[in-house]
Amino acid sequence: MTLSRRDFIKTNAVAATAAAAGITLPGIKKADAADDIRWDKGVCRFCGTGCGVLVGTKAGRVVATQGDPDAPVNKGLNCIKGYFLSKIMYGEDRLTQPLLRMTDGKYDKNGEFTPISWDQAFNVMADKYKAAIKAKGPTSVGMFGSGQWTVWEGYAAAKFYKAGLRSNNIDPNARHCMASAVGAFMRAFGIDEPMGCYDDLEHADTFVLWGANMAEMHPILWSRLTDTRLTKKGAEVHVLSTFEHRCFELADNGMIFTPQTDLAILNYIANYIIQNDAVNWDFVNKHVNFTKTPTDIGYGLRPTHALEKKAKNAGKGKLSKIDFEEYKAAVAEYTLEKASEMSGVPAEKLERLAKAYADPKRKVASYWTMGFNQHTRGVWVNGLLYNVHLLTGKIAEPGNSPFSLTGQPSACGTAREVGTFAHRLPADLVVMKPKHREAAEKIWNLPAGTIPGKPGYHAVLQNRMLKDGKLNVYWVQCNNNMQAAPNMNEEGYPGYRNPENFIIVSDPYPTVTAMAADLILPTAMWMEKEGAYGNAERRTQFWRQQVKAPGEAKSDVWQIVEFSKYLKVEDVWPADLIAKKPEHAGKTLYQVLFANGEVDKFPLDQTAKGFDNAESADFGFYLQKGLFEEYRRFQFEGPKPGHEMAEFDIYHQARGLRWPVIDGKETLWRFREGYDPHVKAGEGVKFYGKPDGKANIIFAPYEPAAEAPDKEYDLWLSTGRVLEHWHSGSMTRRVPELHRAYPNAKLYMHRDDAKARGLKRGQEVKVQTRRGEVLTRVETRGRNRVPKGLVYMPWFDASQLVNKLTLDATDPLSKETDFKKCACKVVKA
Amino acid sequence: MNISGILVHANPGKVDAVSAALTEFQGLEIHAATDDGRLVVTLDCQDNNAAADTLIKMNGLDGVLTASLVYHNFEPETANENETGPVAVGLN
Amino acid sequence: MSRRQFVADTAKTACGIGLAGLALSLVADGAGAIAPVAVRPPGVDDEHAFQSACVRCGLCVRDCPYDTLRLATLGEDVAVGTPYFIARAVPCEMCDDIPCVVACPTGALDKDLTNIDDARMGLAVLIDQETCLNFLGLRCDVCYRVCPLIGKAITLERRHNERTGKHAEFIPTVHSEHCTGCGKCEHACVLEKAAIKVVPKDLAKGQIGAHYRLGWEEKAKKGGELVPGIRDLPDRLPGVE
Repeated sequence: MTLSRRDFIKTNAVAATAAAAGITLPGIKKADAADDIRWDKGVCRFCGTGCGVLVGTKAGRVVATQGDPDAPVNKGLNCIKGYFLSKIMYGEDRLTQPLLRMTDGKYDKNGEFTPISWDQAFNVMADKYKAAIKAKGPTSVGMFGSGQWTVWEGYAAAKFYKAGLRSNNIDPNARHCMASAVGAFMRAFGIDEPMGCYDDLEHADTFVLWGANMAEMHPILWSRLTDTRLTKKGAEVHVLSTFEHRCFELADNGMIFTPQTDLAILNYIANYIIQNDAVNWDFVNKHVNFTKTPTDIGYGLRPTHALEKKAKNAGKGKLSKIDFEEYKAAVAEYTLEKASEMSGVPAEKLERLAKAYADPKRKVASYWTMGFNQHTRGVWVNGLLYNVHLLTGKIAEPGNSPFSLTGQPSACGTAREVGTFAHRLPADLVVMKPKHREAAEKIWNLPAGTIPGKPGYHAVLQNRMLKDGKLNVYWVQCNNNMQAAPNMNEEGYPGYRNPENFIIVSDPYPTVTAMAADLILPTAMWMEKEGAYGNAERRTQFWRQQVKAPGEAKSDVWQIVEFSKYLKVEDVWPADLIAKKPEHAGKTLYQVLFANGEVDKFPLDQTAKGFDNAESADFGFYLQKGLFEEYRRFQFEGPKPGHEMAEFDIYHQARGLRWPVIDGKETLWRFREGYDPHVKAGEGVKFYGKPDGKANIIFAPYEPAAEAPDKEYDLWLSTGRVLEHWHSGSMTRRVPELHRAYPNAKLYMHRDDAKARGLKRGQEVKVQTRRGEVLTRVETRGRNRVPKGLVYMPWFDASQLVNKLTLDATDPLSKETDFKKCACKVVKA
Repeated sequence: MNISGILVHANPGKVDAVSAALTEFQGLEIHAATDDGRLVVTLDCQDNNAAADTLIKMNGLDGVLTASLVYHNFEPETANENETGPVAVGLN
Repeated sequence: MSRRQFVADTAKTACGIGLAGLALSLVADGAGAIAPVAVRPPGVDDEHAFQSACVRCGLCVRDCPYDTLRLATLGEDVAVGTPYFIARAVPCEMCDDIPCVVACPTGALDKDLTNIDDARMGLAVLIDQETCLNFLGLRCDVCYRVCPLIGKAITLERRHNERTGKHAEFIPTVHSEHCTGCGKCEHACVLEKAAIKVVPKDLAKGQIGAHYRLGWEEKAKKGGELVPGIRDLPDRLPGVE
């Protein structure tokens, strides 16, 4: 029997009142709070750790969650954000219907948000898409997606754009987060994502943190690392950062270095290994090539910027082969003295770190996050760390593990794996390679030449192109980029409000980004849809839809698939392309991409009994399964093996599986015989992402940051997260307890720096850069102890948009922004 | 959604009159009445103020000895109205 | 009739017919059943001395920039007219220049207090270890991270989580030699009822009898053995001459 929530509450009201009166009413019992909760497995909505949770549903609402006591990652534990998971969907200001800026009943870019129907919204969108493509071609439309999309949402979006609209202008917010890691994986190993897994946290005995504040950003993994440090004899922890954070509490060797000098420190370690004869020659001779990368490559700014004009090799990254002697000579200048002088780290601390890497008896796991990735030399610095692990052969086996941590729940599973980057296609394929496009066109049953071969606009470029009027219709899903993207004053906001442009934002809440849009689409989130995320250790985890979305809110995948009904092939493809596949003529993109005999081949009755599946019910087939199974064809039929996953149904039964999943078995360590099914008996180690099976050691020198403190702007500004809030705070700031725990951003500053400026703790100040200013308050105490000359400000607070300050300099290779380094000054407000 | 459970004690001789008067209030339902004048009622109101006003008015009705709030539940209307999933409540 | 009056009346009738203990959410959110613990401003060492010196002028309350301090009114558990704060509502922000002490005309708030870190308004105590999320192995530690003297007044003591076998527990531990009693921890505790609370020092602290001393501390204090010259003879071991 089902009854409405109202009836349910009323029943409880009657029962309680009758009990108080001592009246027994036949047939009325108080609804028991304890035993009518339905529990089902799910995944935490926040970071890339991928903690397993159990989700409790009652009367159509998620009323409770718990850490899954049997989940291998977290064993029933959660951090404080995970503790409040059940509250994130129930903020008071959930969006429940499409809202279009209108004046007098008509769309007006300067009008007020007015409720409209989905049909109206999609018709307005279709007009805008058709007009833009007709006028300027497919490069005038774009999309900004997310590492928080479920696997099939990202897959459907990539397919809709690259195959349907024929635009590669789709990029995920993972560009701000993981792109440098991806770039380095591809350059060194030819295949994306870590070779190790979280089990390394128990197997290693030396841990090195490079620009990762795991104590706050990966709290559950940190508790595993801490446990190993506590319980394993001889285990030690080295922490490197540009300021002191909570990881230093556990550090045996804590090092504060001058921003950007991580490049010099890593070259010093390589030099130390060579000078002290600690090279693992057996490994190096068999499995490694030596190369170098072009230097003086600029800073990914607009080409008109002085720094770009000055750069000799702006944006270049083609590797050239060198031999060991050349490599040895290149790193030789990075002596201990030089590295210590440049970085400001005492020599004995650097040497202790170098010894840990060089010692053949120690198993070393290195972890990094945004300190490495949000770096104008992010791909380089990732590569320099691989150099150290490759020189010593400390890689791809239990405990020896360079490991890139992720900040989003599906940065790996979705953003990276299904091809949502401007240059990528599903399963590690890229648009630049004709063979890869051909494979995709074959699987997708498209005429040859459908997918453009030129990479689309990446995240930062999208904002520039919006401002310049070259990108005119833009759809943002599942992220809050107006609060995240750098240099909002000069690039992001002018781009969104450019009168030539039409901006669509899908979100559950009225975020800063949504409020800057022209059309807002109300979005179902997390347990309001069937989903799948892939965490940092290649673990893919599924969940079922637990509750209905409020009002008319619909999931991202529904929005994409439904909207594809509003465009016909003729609207977006040229006639000569249609002529190559005449069977597509006259069809909608929905018929070509989704209801095409492939994606729609699994019937509704295969969806889970007793659970809703709003999208499948609407389209009449098991949409998620169809999309996932088609994506799997890329893994098995595509030109690049190594990405294989299990069948869809298996994931609904398992607590997440680490790919490659072959013959019903997970893979914990890649590239090593016995662990990885792609390495044959006798091969030992094989980096099979590269044609010759060898990984690249890539020399790159120190080069300065794009902007450093000077006389006027005399402080480094670093930005980042805090444990209590996740990213832009659109979910966590709607949980009252988390809001109370950390209500507003503040500026962490050294006491002496504050004193020198006549500032007191708690005082209101202006933080100014060449791009803008933000009001905040000074904090000279607390969790982060910054050195003199550097200030740190979190970015979760929508009332203090720190991205008005940040510089839109990117790594020229990965196009990822450096949110950790620019110059600012702080004055009294 | 704002639902209250209220216990009304009426003068035993006036239970019928009190019942009739109570049903005039919007959103009010009587679920049980005993011979000695106890009534179990629920009140389904727009907001707290309406609930408060009604409760005060009830206390002023002729024949009502006291009206006491026993149960109160309020939550946003966004909660799904019609579907609750498998809730097992004995309402035979 | 005001909402407040309505709530009060309802509460009376509810109690009148013996319904106390039922879930009366409306009543419960109006008035707490037990008076929360009041904390004095910085610069109060002895409660009796303070009460006799305080002239109830309210200047400290006026000068508190965060509206932390309030003056007790009739019917409260605190002496009428004296300043106090409720940490769970608004904690002390520990201003560097301590404006409340500066404002005090009588020295009831001790003028010798010039470094706010020396204030001892009360002492934080992790009262409920059964609900504290960190004791359960979760990674909350919000109390630790909001502590203005993080790493000193509250530290996280690490221990192995026997249940999971591979995680550490981070046990928030208050150190009375540093805790100022500002109440930021109690204010920020994410539980519905705080597991960590600031209470008057007298209530929180045990006291070891003067008849017993801690040997290792006395030794450290002296910098050597208290009774010098005590001998030990070597143990006979196989293979040792």
